[in-house]
Amino acid sequence: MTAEQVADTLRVAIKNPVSIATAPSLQQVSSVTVDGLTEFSIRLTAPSALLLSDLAYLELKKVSSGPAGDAAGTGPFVVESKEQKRIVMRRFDGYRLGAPAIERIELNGFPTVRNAWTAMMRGEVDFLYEVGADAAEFVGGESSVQTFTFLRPYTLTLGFNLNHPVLKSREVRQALNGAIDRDEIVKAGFRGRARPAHDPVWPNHWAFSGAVPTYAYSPDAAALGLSAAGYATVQKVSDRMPSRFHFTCLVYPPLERIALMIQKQLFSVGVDMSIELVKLGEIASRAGRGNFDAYLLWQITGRSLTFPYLFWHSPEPGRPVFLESGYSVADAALNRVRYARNDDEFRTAVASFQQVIHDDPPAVFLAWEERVRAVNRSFHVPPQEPGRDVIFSLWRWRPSAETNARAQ
Amino acid sequence: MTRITSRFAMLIATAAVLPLVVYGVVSLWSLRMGTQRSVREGNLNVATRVGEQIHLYITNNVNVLKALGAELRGTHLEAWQQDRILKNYVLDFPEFRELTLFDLAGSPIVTSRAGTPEVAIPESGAPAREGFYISAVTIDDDLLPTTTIAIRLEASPVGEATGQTDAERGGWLVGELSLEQLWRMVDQIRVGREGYASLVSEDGRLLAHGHPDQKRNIASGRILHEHTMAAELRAGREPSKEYVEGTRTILATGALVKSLNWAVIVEQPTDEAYAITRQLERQLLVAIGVALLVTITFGIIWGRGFIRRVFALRRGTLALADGRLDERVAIGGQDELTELADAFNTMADRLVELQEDVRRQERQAMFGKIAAGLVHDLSHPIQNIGNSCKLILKMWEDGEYRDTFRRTVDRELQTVKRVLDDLKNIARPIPLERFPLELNRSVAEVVEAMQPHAEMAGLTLKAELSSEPLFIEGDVFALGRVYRNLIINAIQATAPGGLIVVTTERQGASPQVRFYDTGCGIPADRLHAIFDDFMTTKRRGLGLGLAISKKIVEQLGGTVTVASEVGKGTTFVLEFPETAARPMPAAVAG
Repeated sequence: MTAEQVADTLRVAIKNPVSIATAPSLQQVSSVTVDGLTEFSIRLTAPSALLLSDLAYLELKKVSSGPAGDAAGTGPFVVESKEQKRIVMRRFDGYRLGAPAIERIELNGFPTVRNAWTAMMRGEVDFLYEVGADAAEFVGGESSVQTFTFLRPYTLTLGFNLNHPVLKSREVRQALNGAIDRDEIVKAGFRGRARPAHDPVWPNHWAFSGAVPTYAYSPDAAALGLSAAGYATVQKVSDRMPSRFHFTCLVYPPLERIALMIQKQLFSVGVDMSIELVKLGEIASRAGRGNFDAYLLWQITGRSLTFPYLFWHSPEPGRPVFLESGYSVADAALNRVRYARNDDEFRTAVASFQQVIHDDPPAVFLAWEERVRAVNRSFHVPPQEPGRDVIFSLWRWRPSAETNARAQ
Repeated sequence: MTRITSRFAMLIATAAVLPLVVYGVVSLWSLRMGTQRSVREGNLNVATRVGEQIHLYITNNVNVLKALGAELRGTHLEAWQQDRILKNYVLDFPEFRELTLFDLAGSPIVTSRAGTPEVAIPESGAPAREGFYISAVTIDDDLLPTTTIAIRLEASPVGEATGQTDAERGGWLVGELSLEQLWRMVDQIRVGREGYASLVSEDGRLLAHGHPDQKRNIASGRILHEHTMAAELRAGREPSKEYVEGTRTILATGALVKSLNWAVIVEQPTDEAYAITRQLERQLLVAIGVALLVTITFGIIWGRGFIRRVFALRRGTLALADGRLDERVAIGGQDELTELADAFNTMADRLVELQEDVRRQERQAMFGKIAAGLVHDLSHPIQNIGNSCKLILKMWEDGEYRDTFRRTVDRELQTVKRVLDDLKNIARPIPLERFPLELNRSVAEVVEAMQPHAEMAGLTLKAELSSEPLFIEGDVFALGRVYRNLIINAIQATAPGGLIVVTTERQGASPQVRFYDTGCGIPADRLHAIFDDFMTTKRRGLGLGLAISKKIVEQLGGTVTVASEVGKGTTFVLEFPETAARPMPAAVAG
């Protein structure tokens, strides 16, 4: 692939709303010029701290399709074919860090973890993308499998709609943050395979600030806070429980038990939270339209600040809305993040964003889950740096001689 | 020699080795049976204990259901309160994934689920176990085993009174039970390094397996109809079994979970289960081997010492039998064998003394005999010489007498000389001059010369000679003496009127001379000794005649044999090797 082809691709991308939806920095690109066979320049209307990470999420497509389709990239593997539940990738021998040892990768979808795991045990699958907390210990016990734990860049979020008559109150949201026992959720809900979350910045991000205060679990303080916010009276409405106020939470079904835990904790401070189990697509749809009181789901944060920006910045012209929550107080902080000129500015901006989230929380950020990637021992996986996701060293994995022979 | 060694080896084998071997075999068998039984019992205890824990786990959860039922009934709770109680129970007892209260018709009244309940009341006719119902175990999408338990809530005692809630009218309390804890319990069961427990449901489904690699079989919903142990247990047979799986033999023990009819199976490869047994067996084998070795070694050392002494005694005895009276037995110790050896040596010493005595007596007897013989053989010639000497003094002038005197003295001196020559020839080879001679002629001359003696004794002496010449190599004078001796002996042994016949003949290639008489014969017990030195049947004389005759014949390469019958006579047979040489003509002519 030449610089010219990449430049063409980028020129198309910056006009594509789908690309802009997940890469807001593309809105700042004013022009793309080719400087040589392998070099090109991107000119921006304003500084961008998110451009490089946004480019990583951008799906590049060749303007003119070749025999291998229109997919393009610079990673260790190239998409060879793509079907509904099956993607085939082939080794990219020109990868800048060296040609991968694995020649071909097939990505298959399975309806359940059990399906995928049993397929792995039958030798039909070499790598299981994710195993949840419940099954991790059993999968890890299998002698033919090696497991690698990683902190998933998704935060379990109880998000609020600030257009809700009660939840619009900052004091109420602060009180609700203090009413939730995150440690209990980590312990009982994830068997300890998670970390408490307090904001949407991935703790492993280099700019994450640990100095920002967090909410300590205190139901008494929360009750006082709710009373101070004007919800001192517990009232009984029809056949519902007596409460200070009521709201309905859209819950992704696998999180039902966690929702029950939250419901119980809120009940103890006199808040009546109804649970409405809703499919993921519907939650996304209703969140984008602002048709909800609250939601509970795994909200992607990614390994950059792009997704926090997309979720917690108020809607902008020309950019699709992911979440219409009515939250805008973090706009200034997020803009500082987006337009940061250097690392220091970026770090300061991120800390400022975390602080705003703490001061005026749009949600209760509950936990970061640790999940497991399972790799068949027929592959040699090089030692990982602490905190690194093993999937990023995929190009360095080496199949054993038997695996190679089997693949022939 | 071999026999006593063999017997001794047999003695050691039967007295020491065999009992030890028998003891070893019995001990090994007892050890193997005992330790294997204890291993089986140990594993069986593990299975039983796990079964009890599983039963307890289920019944505890049933008790939770019952407690929940008690809270829901008779307390006039509102729906939201019942809902809260159910949800709290679900959160407080993580074994439950869902709790739902149904009315008797099976419609949900209240549930812990945020959405629609996923459980249902037991099917009609489902078997109750100790007051609860349990469904088949399944594995959920998260790989965790799950089942549903249910209890029936009876109507409240207040009856159909107005105001009763649905729960008070009776119904079902159903809980979806996560058996994750049960799974972990089974996972934690390890017997040795390779022994694992597994849990098989009533319909043969593998519910849990301690071996991490067996999880796939659980997740794949494998039905273990073929599992022999579960089948044995359900058939009420021995809760312990061994079977081959792949290349290894597996020891399986099992126990049924009370009221659930699930089977807990503990499997362990026998090479690990019986490792201690094998080790103890090896130790016992080594101990027995060492004991055997020590026994055999000491047996050999002691036995060889014993047998060596017996052999020493035997050698001494054989030496004594061989006439080596100087042989003595030297064996150490203080036991009866030593005493026997001492007695043997004393006996040998005594034998030597006795032999010396016998020899001395024999010498004395021999000297006496020789002396008597000499006196007998020499006194007559000496007496004749003495008388002749006395007469010569008186008859010196008689010239005829002097001539007679001279012949008499010469003859008697010849006799004396012959006696002395005989004595000399006994001790050394007789000087012979061998020439070819014709046997008939030499015999005829002697027979003729001896005719006067036979006639004086009133006997008939005749020669019956072979018609063909018989040539041998011989000394004519020595042979003449042999013939004379034999004829004189025959004359002396034969009563007057008897017959003496000398014959010559050829027997094959050997010329023979036979001397036959009709004399008194020689007793059989003395026949073998007649050719010995100084042996005679006569009252007087040295008895050297036959001995010297035999010696002459044998020096000439011939043999002498004798046959005799008391009262009928005796026959001596001389046999010579024939020669192809012929006598000088003069000698033949004579």
